[in-house]
Amino acid sequence: MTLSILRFGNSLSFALFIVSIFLHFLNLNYWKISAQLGVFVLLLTPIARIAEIAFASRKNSKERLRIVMIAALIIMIVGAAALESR
Amino acid sequence: MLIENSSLLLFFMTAFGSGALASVMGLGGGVILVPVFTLLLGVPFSTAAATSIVAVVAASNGAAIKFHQNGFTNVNLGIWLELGTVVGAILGVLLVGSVPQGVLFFTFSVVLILATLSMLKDRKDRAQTSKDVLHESLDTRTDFSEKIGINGSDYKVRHPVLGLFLSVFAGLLSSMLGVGGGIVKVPMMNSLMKVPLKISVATSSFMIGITASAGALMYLLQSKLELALVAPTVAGVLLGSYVASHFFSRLPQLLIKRSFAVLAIIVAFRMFMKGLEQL
Repeated sequence: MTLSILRFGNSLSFALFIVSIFLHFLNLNYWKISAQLGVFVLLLTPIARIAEIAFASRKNSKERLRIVMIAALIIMIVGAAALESR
Repeated sequence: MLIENSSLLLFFMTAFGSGALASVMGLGGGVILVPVFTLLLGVPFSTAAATSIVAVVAASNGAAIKFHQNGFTNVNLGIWLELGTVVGAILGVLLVGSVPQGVLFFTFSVVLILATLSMLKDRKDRAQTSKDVLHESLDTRTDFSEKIGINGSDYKVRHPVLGLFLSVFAGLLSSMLGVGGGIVKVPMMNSLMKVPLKISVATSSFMIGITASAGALMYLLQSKLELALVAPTVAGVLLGSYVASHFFSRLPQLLIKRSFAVLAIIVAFRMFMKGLEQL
């Protein structure tokens, strides 16, 4: 599952960037949307991965809880910084 | 930034070459992309770093697949240290505008030399593994013994809090310079925290994507990310690393690494001189 998320994220963002380059060549303004989507998919891939690892952990519940807590804290820090910078 | 179609193709081809070279040498790509963009293509340092950090996410996803399959990644430790690197990455983006470009060029030249030396030398594993050592501080047990064939061997992670603080510096360096930051994290985990080298490398690779994502997201939201540069760069790096890993894996690696080392020292010198010019 983890590897599928990584492969899917990389492949989808690659496809979106290639589409963006072609649209840029055709002088269509939609290239920006495609590039933005590509960046979002790429940046969300590692974050989706830690969320997935946290919830799919086969280890004991105490360890799983700790991973979930720290992962949630990381996502909150990134989210707060992102909102603040807007 | 308005970019001509011919320039777009130039960025794509440059990124393709950088991705292929980085893949052959086992580097993240940032140490190649940033000098190429700043010295050859005339891109401002902060723009090059922001573009490079997105490419680092893509390269790290690819590397993480490989390391995860090997089973060496210590997820628990990686997520703990991520607390520090993510904070560092965010601080780095907030500070990058106020740091003179000359200082960034200087720092990058030092990082480039350290990365080159680290790539060339045979790393000695500074962590001791033993059956008798327990690991209560972070409960960072892995199936290390099975994977490398030392029955019953185990390790204890030392100085987790100090490691967390040093990770802030690794994150700062990563987002300000557009590199992965493995040059700080791997020696820190191996020498200071006594984590076996293979696990340090795999865990660092696991962490790089998340750190770089946090930095890149900040660059994006602060409108410091040039999408016209990012699209051809990331597509080029991904294609380059894919082609290199499938077709160039039989090339004489030692010769390539030594040639790259010579080139890297010249580039580091040029970046140092550029730093002097900017001050």
